[in-house]
Amino acid sequence: MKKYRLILLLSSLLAFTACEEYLDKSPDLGISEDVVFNNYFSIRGYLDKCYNCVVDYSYWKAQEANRAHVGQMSDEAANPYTSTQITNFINKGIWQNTEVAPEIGWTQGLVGSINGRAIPNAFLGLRISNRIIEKVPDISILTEQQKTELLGQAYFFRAWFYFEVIRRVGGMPALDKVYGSDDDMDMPRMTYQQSTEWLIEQVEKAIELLPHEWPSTETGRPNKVAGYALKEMAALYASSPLMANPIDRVEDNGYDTEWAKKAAQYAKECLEYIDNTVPKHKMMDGANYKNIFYHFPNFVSDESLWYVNTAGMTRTGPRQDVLIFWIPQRMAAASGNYADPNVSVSQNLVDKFETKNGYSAILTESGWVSDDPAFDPDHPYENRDPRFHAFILHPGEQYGTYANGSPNYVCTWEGGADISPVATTGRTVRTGYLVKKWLWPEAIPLNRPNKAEGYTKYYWNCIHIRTTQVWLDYAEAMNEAYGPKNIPAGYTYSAVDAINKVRNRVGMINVRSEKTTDATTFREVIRNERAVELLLEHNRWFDIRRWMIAESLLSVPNPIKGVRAVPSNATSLKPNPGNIFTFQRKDVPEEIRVFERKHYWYPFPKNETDRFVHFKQNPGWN
Amino acid sequence: MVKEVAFSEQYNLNVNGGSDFMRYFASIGYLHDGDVYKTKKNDLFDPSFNYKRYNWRANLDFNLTKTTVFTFNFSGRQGYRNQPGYRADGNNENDDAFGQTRFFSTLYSAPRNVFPIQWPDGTYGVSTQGAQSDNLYLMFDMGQRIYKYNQNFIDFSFKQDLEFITKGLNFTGKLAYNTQMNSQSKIQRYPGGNFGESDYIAYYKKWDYSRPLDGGGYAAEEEIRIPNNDYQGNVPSASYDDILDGGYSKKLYYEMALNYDRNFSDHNITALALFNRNQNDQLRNATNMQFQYRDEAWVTRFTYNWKERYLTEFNGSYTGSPKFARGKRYQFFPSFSLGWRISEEPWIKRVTDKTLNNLKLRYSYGIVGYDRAASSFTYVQMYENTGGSVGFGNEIRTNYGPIYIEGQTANINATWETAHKQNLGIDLMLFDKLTATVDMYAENREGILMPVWISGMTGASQADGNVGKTKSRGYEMELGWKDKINKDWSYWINANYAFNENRIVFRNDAYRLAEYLKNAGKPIGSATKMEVIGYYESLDDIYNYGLANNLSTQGRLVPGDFMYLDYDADGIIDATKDRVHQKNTNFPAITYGWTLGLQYKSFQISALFYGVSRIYKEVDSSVLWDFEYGQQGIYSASMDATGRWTPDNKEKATKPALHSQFKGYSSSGGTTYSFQNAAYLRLKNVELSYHINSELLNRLNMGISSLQLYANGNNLLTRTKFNKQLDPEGSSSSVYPMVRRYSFGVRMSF
Repeated sequence: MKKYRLILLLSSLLAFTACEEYLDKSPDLGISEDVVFNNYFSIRGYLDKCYNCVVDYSYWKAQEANRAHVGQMSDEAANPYTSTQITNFINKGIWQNTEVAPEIGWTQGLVGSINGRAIPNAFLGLRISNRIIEKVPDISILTEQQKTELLGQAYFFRAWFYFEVIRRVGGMPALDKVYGSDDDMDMPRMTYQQSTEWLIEQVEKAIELLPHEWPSTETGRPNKVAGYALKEMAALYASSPLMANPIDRVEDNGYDTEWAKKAAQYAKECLEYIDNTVPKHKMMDGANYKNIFYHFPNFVSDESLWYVNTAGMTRTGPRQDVLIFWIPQRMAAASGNYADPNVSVSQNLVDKFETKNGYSAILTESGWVSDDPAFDPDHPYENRDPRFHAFILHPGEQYGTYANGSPNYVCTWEGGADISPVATTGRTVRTGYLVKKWLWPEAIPLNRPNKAEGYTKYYWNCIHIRTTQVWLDYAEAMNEAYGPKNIPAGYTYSAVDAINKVRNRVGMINVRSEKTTDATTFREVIRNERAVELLLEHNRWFDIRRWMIAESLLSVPNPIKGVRAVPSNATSLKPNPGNIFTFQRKDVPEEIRVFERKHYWYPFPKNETDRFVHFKQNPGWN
Repeated sequence: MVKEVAFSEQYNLNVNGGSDFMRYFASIGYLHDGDVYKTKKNDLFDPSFNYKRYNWRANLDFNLTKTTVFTFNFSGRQGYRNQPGYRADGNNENDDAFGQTRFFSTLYSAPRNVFPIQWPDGTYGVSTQGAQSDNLYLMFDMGQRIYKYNQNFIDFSFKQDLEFITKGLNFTGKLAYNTQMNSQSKIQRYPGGNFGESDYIAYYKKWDYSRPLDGGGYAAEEEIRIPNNDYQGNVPSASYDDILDGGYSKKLYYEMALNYDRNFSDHNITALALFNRNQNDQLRNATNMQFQYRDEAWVTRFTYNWKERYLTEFNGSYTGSPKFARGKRYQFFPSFSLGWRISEEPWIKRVTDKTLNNLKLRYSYGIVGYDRAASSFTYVQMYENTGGSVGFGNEIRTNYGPIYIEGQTANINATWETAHKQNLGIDLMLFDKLTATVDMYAENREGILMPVWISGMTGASQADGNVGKTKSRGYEMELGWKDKINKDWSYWINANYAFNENRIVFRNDAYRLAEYLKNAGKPIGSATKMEVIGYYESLDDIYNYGLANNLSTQGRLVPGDFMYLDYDADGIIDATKDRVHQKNTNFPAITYGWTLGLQYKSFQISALFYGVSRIYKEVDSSVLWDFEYGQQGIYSASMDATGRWTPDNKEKATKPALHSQFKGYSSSGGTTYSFQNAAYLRLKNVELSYHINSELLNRLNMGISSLQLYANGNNLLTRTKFNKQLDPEGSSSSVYPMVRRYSFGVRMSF
């Protein structure tokens, strides 16, 4: 009996053994993956994060660049505001251990927002698109139309973000799944061209699925034409001298003709598609040229094929991009971090603008020189390429007015109020030229009481690819594949024809015949045209790297040049009647550029390559 | 600013007694720790630093039957911590960390010669930047903060002899319920704004708007200088009894156990089977409670010894934690130990007879689990609705949202961290007077929760994983001697010595990282410092030795600044690759001490010495460097400023060259110059007591059954090489200073 009582007692204690149940309580934790992927709107809400991951270089704080413009990395622009990482790290060639720098940094800080860096944002975008592509085809509650919409955007984003990564760091493995912590990321890298093949497979699927044109309430999502444009741009990059290299070498062996032919073909398809199916995206008329860049009331110009739609956001308040980038301190009539920065165009780029008759005009140490017999070295800015007047403000130009109506001038001559020593070093217009491309006279605050009023007159946004660029790409590809004047079967335009179309649109005459003799000479014309047309549109930095001319352009002492304009009769604020400027080429020694052979590709961070055996670092970096 | 002498007091009253049925014990106590700072009480508030605590307890034991005992205890305490209210914001004790540390660090950093504490007209002086946190008296005058801590404990326990089932068996049960409530009250004289600082208008003109002047504007009516007799100052504001974040909690604990204890001739057996559960509800912030925490454990123990000569013990615990996923919550943690009392062996006893009282050899091995580092429910992968949207459209903006993102990456395999411990020890006692103990131990921990690296190419955020491993080794020795010389005199001496070292075994280092940069193989928490190898003697040194971090840093160096070692010899002295792990850490590797005691009749005196060694601490920059706030125009220097490097003082320099602003020699994260030996030896306690004997007390006839007077001193002497401005036992200059304490007391029982 005693034993039984013992057992009874013990077993009653064991009745408390609903072990797992006691601890099996948890709060309602939130949204799980099944909940998100069970509803069209939440899936679309998950996909739409990709739009926040696209680089928007029209914002002064994008990528935490903090008032430096992407044009400052190449030979396009100068900026006196030096507390930025572009000035202190990128332009000094210090590209490793700077994880927070824009462009080259891999920091996870602010990833997935407009302030996140390009490469981590691209990896996040890839993750999102990969997940959509994996899951959406099997979700039964979605209609075919919805699936097509979601998958079309996902494939496009997969291609776009992959392109963003490879054009910065070189060939990568195919990043085609959602990776978890148990995946081995130590994959060998494909060559750039193999990566582009994989990319083109993705963008072809996107082209299939994307609509011709989204309804106007959804303008900003990629159209089919964006897919065509990305396809030809990626192929052009793959044919370029830098990208023709394998992973472990950086040598200039010229273009890859096979890929150039592909690029020409894709560009032709894109242009034909635009002409036949979506003619509103044709190159805009020369009369409305400036409305490509700033426009009202439409948020997006017709020529924009792939862009960041800032959707009516005005450049007032915290987004004072117009003030920060384009307006120097005196005209801003304010002081401090918002007013001091200004982006000024280098003489290197100004030299690329031809005269109206198609001759080049260069500023030397002893003044302006040109082969054009009609060129007047005392009035060098007259009778120039119309784009010069659309894009650039030259010393002595009248622009904007004071509150009382008196005219304002760009006072960048010796003794003028916009350059040192009158303006302090932090506020001077370093090269003497200001940017007019995204500026309108009403936007100059000067001493108007409501300073921000002028910013709301127009909208402008960051355009990644526009139709004119497709024509330029077409010309470059045709020139490398077939020569400047050949028109192979099935094609309508030659390379020269394409360039002339771009020039004629703004009112420039055709290219002079001595420059169209052979592919090598015409290549220089194409590059010149591209630098002029796409000034400060974040193309030159990638172009000088893929053409492998960056090292020779930037490794000379004082690579950035400006203009010294000595007036004969001017006050600090205005040139008096009868004033004649004498011009001279000057160095801008404060603008430092360091570019060695290894800088053609961005480095991978050390804490990534330190853990990989098969995945190799780019040549020249450790 | 600081008093020479401050006071603290403590009182305690106990009463106990009982009968066959019931026994009781009750006690109340009061403690008051006074203030070292010269704060001044005013009619609005009292900003002194002090701590008051009341505590109470009642224990009742009932013998319900001859075999059942029922115990009921309740106790509690109420504490009040008072301090000045400078910059008191927020609902968390740790809020306003800036203000709290300023009370103490300003002792070191306030400039001594820039402004007076108080001007003749009563306004307080402030430094050139207007920073009110440089004047301690002003900070003391800004208000008061009182923290109230209340805790209540109730527990019941029950013991039932189960002799009727089998001899030696009994059953115990326990239930405990504890509550805690912490709140704060604040009175502030200068409220408002981010910094609790007021708009302090010093001078303004009052315009007479009824008298416009010809050229525009108005005539001035009067000029007002603040403060004057009319200015009331800011009205103080107060808020009372705001519950602190996490300031309310209630805990419920219950356990049931079966104990068995029986001897069969020479075999002694005990066994235990126990089950307990724990439930904890805690406040998270002013409006929300945390999710209830629960855990459960099943424990068993079995001991067996034969003739008290061969001893074994086995323990097992099957414990569950709520933080992990189903299937990973419960883990079994066993341990066992063996002992051999060599001194009980008959063949030893024959040899040593009465001299060897005890010689015991013991070994134990066990596995222990730890889950406190983990957060609950990290094994679930969640998504978040960010509430954001994207805008599309061509002339009219349309927003599309909300946007969904992946939440923090889950740690799917979250589970217990485990530690494998073993211990080997020897106890010895000789002559009834000499005792010695030596213990050696080793511990290996694995499954330590730590962030696991994941490549940026995945686009995922980093997750934690149970992958870390560490190990720890050490030994402890203790030696004691006590002796009675004759019936009046006796004395004792005890000495102990402990040594411990640990190493990280695995911490997910990149495999290609240089060995000296990896975490593996280094002590836990070891510091990396720049090695100081001397001073730059000339500009040639500066420019030839190696690039000092970057060009702008190098351009500001002068002869007399520290020269750091370019450890990896790559030509650049930079803070990522030239930091070297230091051998010593903030935790002492060696601790030792001894106590001495002497008794003569009713007098007793004892002393405790305590010391640590192989410990290095970082000295605060406000204590180490001169002209720390030079760019604010405050130039305060410490007494050893004359030891600075100058071209004439090269050989005898103890400090680098003096800078008024840029400190080229101070590298963030410290250098081997600021990382100093914090070993010390301290006379921690001396106590003198006198026990009035019972004959004397009986004659007094007051019913006092024993009376003892005592006096003791704490922290009486210290010997250390550490910087004399700081206490080697404290952690930095931002805490309440260590004090030397003398106290006197009386213990009486009736």
